[in-house]
Amino acid sequence: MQAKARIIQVEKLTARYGADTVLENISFDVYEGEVLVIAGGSGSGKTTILKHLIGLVRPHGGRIIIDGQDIVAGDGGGLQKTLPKIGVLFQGSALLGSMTVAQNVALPLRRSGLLSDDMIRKIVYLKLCKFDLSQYQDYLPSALSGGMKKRAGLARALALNPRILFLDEPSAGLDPIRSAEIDAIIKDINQRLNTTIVVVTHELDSIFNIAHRVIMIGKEQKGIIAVGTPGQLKTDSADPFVRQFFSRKETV
Amino acid sequence: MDAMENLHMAQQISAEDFQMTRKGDDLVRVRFPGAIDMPLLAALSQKVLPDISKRPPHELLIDMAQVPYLDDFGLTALFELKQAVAARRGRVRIVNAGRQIREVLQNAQSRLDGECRLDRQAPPFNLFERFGEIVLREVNNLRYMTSFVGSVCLALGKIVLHPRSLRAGDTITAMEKIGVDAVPIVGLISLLMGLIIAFMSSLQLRQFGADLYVASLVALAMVSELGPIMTAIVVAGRSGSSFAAEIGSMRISEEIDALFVMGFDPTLFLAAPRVIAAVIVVPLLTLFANFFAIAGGLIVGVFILDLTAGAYVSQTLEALSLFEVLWGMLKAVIFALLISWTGCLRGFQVRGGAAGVGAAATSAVVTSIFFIILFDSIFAVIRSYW
Repeated sequence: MQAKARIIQVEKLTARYGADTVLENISFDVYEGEVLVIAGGSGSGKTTILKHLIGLVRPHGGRIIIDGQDIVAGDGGGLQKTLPKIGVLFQGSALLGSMTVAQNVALPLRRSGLLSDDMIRKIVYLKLCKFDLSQYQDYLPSALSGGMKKRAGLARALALNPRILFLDEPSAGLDPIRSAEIDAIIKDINQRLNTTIVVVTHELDSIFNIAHRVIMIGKEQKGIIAVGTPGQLKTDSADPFVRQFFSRKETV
Repeated sequence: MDAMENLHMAQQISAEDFQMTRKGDDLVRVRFPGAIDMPLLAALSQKVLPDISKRPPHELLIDMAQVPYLDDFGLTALFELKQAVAARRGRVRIVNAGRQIREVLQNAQSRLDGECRLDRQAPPFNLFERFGEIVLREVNNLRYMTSFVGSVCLALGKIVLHPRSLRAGDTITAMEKIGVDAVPIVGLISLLMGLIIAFMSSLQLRQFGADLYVASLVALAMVSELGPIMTAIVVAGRSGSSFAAEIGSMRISEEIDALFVMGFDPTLFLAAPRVIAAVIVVPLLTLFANFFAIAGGLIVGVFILDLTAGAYVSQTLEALSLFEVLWGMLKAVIFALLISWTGCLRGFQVRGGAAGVGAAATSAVVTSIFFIILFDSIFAVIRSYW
């Protein structure tokens, strides 16, 4: 993969929850077409970064520019322009419980207001076929397994073929086989559609499987402690915690 | 080992087993007889600590020669002993500790120093601080509530300008749940209310030979006051809590975040259908309530007061005016707005998992009932000056 232009720029981002500073002055870029993994220990602030990138939380300081739009400044106009270009898979899939799988996937398509009901039905069916869910399209989310919910959530996140896809712990709660399936889907989306993908995870197998680059967040440092490919971080990182993390060695 | 076995074992250990020796108020020596497990900790707490706390020494010597290892029970025992001598700022010395125990103590030293306490004790109660916290919390709450009023008004305004932006299916479903499903309970309660009012009032009116005016009393009391209030309270309990729970559950499972990221306005998507459904249905439900209440009064009038049905109905119609009916309906509309707004607000405010959802549902009902009574008082004042 050849990295292209910067599609996400994070500049001196500071995040606070009440009086606690979680992240301090972090800066990083995401290049178009790459799969970037944000990794780190539990409570390091990985999901906090994600929530800032998708506009759910306003930062205490700093700028976030997505595809040329500053999503932090002003009254939220930049964010509103950016939202149609992104798709998000939440950790628990966040499928609307009162709607069927098909209705969930159709939501972003209906939001656009550009397509007829009949067209939407066809597009939804085709999308569900890609994720092997076509026979479950009339099921409610409560009737699905964890892996199926994740695939349905991914199908919804990709409904509008977004330029950027954000995934929050996509393998959480899945067995290794289902987890590998999700990884395969992520790689396929990236290679076929050149979608930029930002993944928050601490699953090592997934990181080595899908990541072009990894940003490692440190809880005590409240910021980035390492950037590189998974292989580089495992062998060449100056930080012993990073090497330990990627080598899955435990301290005694 | 189950609880009974632990209790039995603790009872078997006596104070003498700890070989406690005392040199006046200067020194106390305690020797643990073996591994510090739960029964030994319980025995220490019941049989040794009270004695030490009553007369804390300057120095407490803890002999660990018989203790093979230290775990959470052991650390807690040492912490309790340290607490026991704290009143006189007594010193604690641990002697004859093995290697494992020394390593554990080294890691846990900061806890036993007393600067970091193992158990968190609540800070002493300060009335001014508490009052300040409550004021700040309520001011924040008020800001959020005001903001949500604006959000709902904007959503309703958008629906007026673009009617297709309303989720019609969700609105009809809500109308069914709020209205249709509530008819049996509202009808039953109102019937009983009518019976009770008619019966109780008849006890007094009979003395003046004014039985017939029971019909007027039931009609006026229910149509202008009790009908709207009782219906609103039932709706608050059934639907207000349900709104809070549904939206609150969506909040904690990130469904509302997902809606936001997909570009939907959560207030327009979730709150507006519920508010509109309530405003349409609650006045109709109130009319039902009034009807059943008058029917309840009719039963008392006919079977206890020996009135004819015709006379009762005729007196009811004479007492009631269109204004009274419309006044009751207007109250019902306002109550519907309050209940649905409060239920949705509490749902959006949920934090912290299932417990938060439960708290929100309770709060939705309590807050709704408070607003119902408050606004009814305001209506009463307005009417008295009209």
